[in-house]
Amino acid sequence: MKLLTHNMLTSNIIKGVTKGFPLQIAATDIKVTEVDFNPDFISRMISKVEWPALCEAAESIGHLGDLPKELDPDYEKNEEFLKKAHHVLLEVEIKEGELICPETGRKFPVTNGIPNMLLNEDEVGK
Amino acid sequence: MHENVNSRELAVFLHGWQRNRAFSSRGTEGKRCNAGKCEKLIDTRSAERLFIQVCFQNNIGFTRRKGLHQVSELIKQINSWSDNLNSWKIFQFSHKTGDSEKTAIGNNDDDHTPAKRQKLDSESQVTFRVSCKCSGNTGRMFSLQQWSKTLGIAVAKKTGWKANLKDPMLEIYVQINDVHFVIGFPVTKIPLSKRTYIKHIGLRSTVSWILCSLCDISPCDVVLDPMCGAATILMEAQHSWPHARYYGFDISDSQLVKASENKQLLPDSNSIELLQADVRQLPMKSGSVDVIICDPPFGYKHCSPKTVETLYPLMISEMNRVLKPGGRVVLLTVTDLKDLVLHLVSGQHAHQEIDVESNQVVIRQEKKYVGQEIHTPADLGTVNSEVELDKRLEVASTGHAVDLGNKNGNAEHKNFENSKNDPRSSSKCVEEEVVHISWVLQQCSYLKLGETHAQIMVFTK
Repeated sequence: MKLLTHNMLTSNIIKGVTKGFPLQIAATDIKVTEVDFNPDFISRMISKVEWPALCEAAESIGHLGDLPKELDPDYEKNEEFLKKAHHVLLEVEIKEGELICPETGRKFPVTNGIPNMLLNEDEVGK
Repeated sequence: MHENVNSRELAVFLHGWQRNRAFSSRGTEGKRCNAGKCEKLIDTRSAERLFIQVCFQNNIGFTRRKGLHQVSELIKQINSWSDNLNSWKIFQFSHKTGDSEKTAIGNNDDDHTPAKRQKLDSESQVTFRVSCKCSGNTGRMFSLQQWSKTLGIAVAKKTGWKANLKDPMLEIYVQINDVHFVIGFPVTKIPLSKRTYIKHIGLRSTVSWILCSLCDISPCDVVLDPMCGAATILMEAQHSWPHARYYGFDISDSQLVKASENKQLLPDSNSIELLQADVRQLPMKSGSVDVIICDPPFGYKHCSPKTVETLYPLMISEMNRVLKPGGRVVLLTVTDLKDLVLHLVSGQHAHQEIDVESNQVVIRQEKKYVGQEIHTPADLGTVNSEVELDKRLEVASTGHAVDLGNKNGNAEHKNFENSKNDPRSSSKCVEEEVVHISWVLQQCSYLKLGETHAQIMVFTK
């Protein structure tokens, strides 16, 4: 699971959880793979993500680097910045570990890069 | 040699799903094209196979008494055998060298070896085999062996080519049915629909591609298949529209294993992410998805019809939640479930209170819908008014007049009949929490999947 994906996930499917975002990450295996850099794509994806949540997630697994926590309004023109964002969004991948619901502490295991977000029957109930 | 052919017109035909014909049939369609364009045709994602056309005729009217004689006469009248053979030969060379993808999968024929080339160049040594596909009343007039044998003898007599059932140079494809009589030389040994990047087949690759082609995937779109199985839909999408983000969810471990093995075969496997999740509880933020493409269970193989009736309302409701306004949805389902889907996306229903044990959920809602907006319950006594209701339902929910399709054996109508006199149902509905879903049907196309009558429905939120 990449951090871009993490930025879209929520645990609000659990009964009683309202926001469920962002999920905390407890990673035991992190893999960094090189992915082709496409500045247009990254700029547009940045507009879709919740930036503070991305920074928080990256920091929690030690991959924030010197990425600014505040988004510069002119970030689209800053290639250096886009490259760093690219790295955090697409190159850092949680292979093994857990995602943790910020409200209930419910843990969702991540195995071989695939998070298991299935609930038990008694947890369902919107 | 190559250039000569590029400037020549070839008749080819594609066998398979035809997008430009709204997939009305899985049949054959003639097409003329320049040989240069032929190279491009080989990349057609929605077709099963590509042929050099030798003969394409409609409604020949074979008779039980004279059919075999008629077919022999037809073969005799065709004079383009060697012309078409030349086109076929040249095409064999040009696409084999240019397109490594097509030759990569299990294609162990050694067409590039000098010996085989020589064999191809010399017409005197042409060997062939007839592959016959017969269907309909016409096809059944004679056995496959009778058809094949007659055709084989006639072709050999006309052309001087030699029949060879085991290892022919040329396969002659013949299709006989009540509408067409078609002869063609397959341009590729392996059907176009076979992809190098799909190891585990879920939904047929051609159909998957068509679903993807209908939802205008733009760069950076977030595309979700919440019941992805082996992820064939996403594989097709990623291959043709590489600059989007793809998410495949499935409830089953074993399907996700297949999906991740498939994913590894893509040149860019980074843009597909897999997750284990239930379509009834999608762990995505509301409004975060641009496109949903899904082939939900039909209630035949993966779950019972009863399960489907409780699953669909929950599924549509969750899809609606995660989809952003203006987002697109493409669903492939069976004709029997079309009305259910159209109803679910057309407005008010309250999935939260659904009694899972009851198979009358949908019906209750339908009644409510009917009672409030179209008919009074008293109007619903006859079969005729049910059909009428259908029409209105569809028009009301979509703003489009859609064809009524196949209405027989429609389970929810029977249930409807049972429940409509139950006064409890409508009052209960009113108490339920109402979730407004209002998708606009953009397109609805009929598709025959084997023996299954299916529909592709395209919506926008």
